[in-house]
Amino acid sequence: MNLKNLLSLSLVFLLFAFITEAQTKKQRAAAGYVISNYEVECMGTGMDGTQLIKVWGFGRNPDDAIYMAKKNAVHAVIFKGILGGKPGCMTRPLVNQPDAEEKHREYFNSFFSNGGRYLQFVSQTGDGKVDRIKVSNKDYKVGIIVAVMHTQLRTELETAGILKELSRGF
Amino acid sequence: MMKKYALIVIFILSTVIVFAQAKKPTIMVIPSDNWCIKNGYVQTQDVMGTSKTFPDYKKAVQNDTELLMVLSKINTLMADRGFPLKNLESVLKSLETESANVSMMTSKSGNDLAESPIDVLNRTANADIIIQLTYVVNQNGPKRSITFMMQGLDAYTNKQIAGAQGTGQPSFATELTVLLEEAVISYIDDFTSRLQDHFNDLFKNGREVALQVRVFNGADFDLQQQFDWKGEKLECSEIVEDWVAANTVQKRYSLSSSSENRMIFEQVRIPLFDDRDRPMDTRRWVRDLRTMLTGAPFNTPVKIYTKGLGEVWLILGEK
Amino acid sequence: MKKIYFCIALTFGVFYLSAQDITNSAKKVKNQVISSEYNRNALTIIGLKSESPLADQLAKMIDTLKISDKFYTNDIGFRNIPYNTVINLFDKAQQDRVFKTDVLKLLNEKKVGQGIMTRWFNRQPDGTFNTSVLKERGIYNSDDSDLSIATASKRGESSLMDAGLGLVDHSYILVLGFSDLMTMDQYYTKTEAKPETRTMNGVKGNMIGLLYKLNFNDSVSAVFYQDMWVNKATADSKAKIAKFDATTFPLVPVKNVIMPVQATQYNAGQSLAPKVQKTQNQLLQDMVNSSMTNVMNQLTYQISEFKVKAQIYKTNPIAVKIGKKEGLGFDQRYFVFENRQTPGGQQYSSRRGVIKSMSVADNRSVATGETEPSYFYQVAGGKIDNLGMFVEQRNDVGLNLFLGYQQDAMSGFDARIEYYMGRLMYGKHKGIAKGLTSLKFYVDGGYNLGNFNNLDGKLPTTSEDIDLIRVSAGINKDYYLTHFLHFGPFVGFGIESATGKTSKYKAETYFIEGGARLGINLSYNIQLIGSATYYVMMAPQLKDADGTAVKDPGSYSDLFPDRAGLGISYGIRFMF
Repeated sequence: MNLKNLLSLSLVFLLFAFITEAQTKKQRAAAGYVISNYEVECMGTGMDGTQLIKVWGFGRNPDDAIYMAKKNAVHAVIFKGILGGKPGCMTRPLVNQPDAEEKHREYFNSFFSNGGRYLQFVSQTGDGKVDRIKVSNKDYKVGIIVAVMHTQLRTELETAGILKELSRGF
Repeated sequence: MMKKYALIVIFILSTVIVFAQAKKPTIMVIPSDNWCIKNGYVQTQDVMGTSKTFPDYKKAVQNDTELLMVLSKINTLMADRGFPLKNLESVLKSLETESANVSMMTSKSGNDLAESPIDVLNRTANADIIIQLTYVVNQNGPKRSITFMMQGLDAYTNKQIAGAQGTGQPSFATELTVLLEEAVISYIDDFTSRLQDHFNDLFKNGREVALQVRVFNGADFDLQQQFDWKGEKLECSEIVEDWVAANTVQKRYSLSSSSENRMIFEQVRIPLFDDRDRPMDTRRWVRDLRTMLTGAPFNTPVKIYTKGLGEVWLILGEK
Repeated sequence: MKKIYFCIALTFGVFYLSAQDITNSAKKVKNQVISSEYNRNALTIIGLKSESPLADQLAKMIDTLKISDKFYTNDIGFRNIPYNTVINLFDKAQQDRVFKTDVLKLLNEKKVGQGIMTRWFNRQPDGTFNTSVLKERGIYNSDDSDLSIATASKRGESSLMDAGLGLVDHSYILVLGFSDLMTMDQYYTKTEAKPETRTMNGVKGNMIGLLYKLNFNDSVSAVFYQDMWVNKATADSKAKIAKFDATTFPLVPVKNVIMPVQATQYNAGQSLAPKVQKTQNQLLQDMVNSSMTNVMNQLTYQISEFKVKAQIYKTNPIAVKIGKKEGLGFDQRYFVFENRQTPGGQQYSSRRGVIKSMSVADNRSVATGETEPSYFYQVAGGKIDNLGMFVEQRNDVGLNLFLGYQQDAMSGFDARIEYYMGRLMYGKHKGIAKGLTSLKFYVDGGYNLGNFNNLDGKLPTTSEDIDLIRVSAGINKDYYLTHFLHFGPFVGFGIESATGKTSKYKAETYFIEGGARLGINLSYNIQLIGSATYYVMMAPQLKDADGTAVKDPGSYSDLFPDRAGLGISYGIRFMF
């Protein structure tokens, strides 16, 4: 194989790598601010107005994974409901409409942005204790226990016009 | 000039918005029959020669502190959601001081219904949605757990429109009142979420009501009397049914019973607003039918009797 | 030439051993996930009272034997059961029979399981139970993390109390038995020992430590709650009380430990004899105490539930929220783990580092949310962080063995034993004691067969082979410069004796040694060590073949050049 062919081949590989990376980035963007297959379970009934849950997040390092886990927690309360674990959490999500996330994409993109408003509705408990699994050279999976202030979250979404108040229309 | 027009439009719109609101259903929480019987809060009454057992709500609220706590907690959480509930204890007190008219109809009906305590309560409280509360304290050795159930029942269709139930985690150290409070907190959001679904359905598909058309004994005709109606010879019941079909949302109703003296319409879906965008209730909805029946060719006096938002009786023959 | 062969052999040995260690470690941890959850265990001690003349004394000592703060104490009203322990150290089948059948049957006959249940559920004289002990122990078991989660829950502190019920299944019974006990006199008679070898007094024999666990699984607990739980007088209370009295709660054999034990001291007049001779009672007490310690160390090594686990709370310095409540000792070793996952999805725990404690917090109280942590220093491994890495107790014996070669001064083969004495000195100290970490007492020995010429005219021969044996003892402290590199100054005092193979002349001298060592980790318990030692020799004593002292022997260096001064040694150190 002469040098010219080798260079061409290398260029092709590099291009492929860039495309793949771009595709991966695009996939991430399409998936949005969370990776939808996160795990969440109920840890019992939280204080009034809160949901006490254990949630997992992925990241390139444990810190990132913890941030992602907090996002996942708020996301779960809004869109998924808390189905597994101990009894005591709301099984129905705050937002029931299947297309609500897409319909209010702009709002949620801002809400769930890094350092966004979602942080006001979640607080980590457990004195810093986390469960951590290194799943590959580049990825960590971290589980944390958080309290999500679902009552305040509902008020936030009602103010934003995404949720209807119970007494609205009457 | 433009500013003036804009202001007028805004004023009209706001008026419309303010007034284009349906009447808020009233909700009341009561302990279920099952709970009352299990906890010994019952009374017996003689109903047509048979001794029947009924819940004794007054005894329950006077003696059971935990029940009061649960009712209070539910009321508080619902009030936080903008939906204050009718308080059972207050309603029971009103029952004692108010002279209730037991008979729904005058002597012409011929039926003096004996009312059970729940009927009296429902009539007095006039709650449109009853939340039936059941909880059981399970004991296994030192551990206690609560099996908790909330059923939201439409008072007049008797349909369950919302519910939440489950058994909490056992504990030997937690006080019973805390376990009960925990149960309410655990299930209230799922319950109100389903209630919200019901209200959404309400706004979309209309309110579900029940209609009964009855005939006094001394009426000039019964429901099988034929009339010339818009070029056709139709029975009165058929004419009434046509009217109901024309005045329900998506023609949704169910005629469950039809005889010469009685027609029972169920699952009737009436619009929330009339054609002048005013909130619709059963009385307003059935007024046009009354107008039609008092005019030619029927020319009969009609009495309207409403049971809150959900049920209306139209009785032909007398006022 | 010899040195070269030695170095090559050493190098190969090192790589072989470390490869073995790495392979075995990797294999071990790849197959299992270590749980980072730790709950306090409860312990009941039972002594087997034999027919030996010493039985009564031993029984009294077992009655007062203290259980470590690491355990809840489940005292059941008695601590000794008559049973003549006969153990054959070499008969596995017999040991198993004693462990899994004979003693187990005895414990069931004495209703030890029932006694433990009585303790946990605080049974009253009228037969009723209550949950006060469960609540108290549930709260005491919780840490700051549990408290934080409980505070965020509706149940609050009650959820910590509820956790007490889960601790019932962590109840263990440790049975101690002594067999073949004999005094040293009896032993010497039995072995027909020569009079000059009868240098000690005291007692020796064998000891068994048998560990059982109360089986309080779901089915046992269900039957207990359904058929025996009584907390107030009801129609069926009497029947339930009677049923509890008649029930034998199941015990499960867990582990057995058998070891020889002795409580001995050198006779008065012997060079190693204590200043004041201990009484037999004192010796027996030492034996019982050390047996308990040794058994618990063995069991902690073998049983996962006994190993303390906790998450790393902070770094720089490494802090973990454990302390006296968990039985933490000074300079105690812990492994740091991180859970990982194979591409196939199987999870395993990977060791990331090895740390040792440099402070022991007194946390023997209920968690408040601001528990003081204990601090650690790292002795091996890579980067450690506080985002999910956790530690597991891995006690070490506290002994190191060095094998190597020294050249230049005091050349020859070199061996050394080190003991971590800092552990014994921490005592009631509070806070970080960096000065005591990795502080060791060592005994070093060397041997060389050298050919010396020009023996300064003090020996009858001008050249002969000399056996050189040296022994020294001193203190050494390791400082960890990085995770894999440590530096250790030391100072000591020793004696060397040189014996002529031909002339039989013997020269002895004391010396002072001082220097520093540098160690590089091959694994957490194997290091390559290089030392630089400076020797200062004292005036020697020279004796001829008859043992008569030779006048004016001169200096040791004149006799044996190249013994004083700077010596460099290299070798391998094993940590146990």
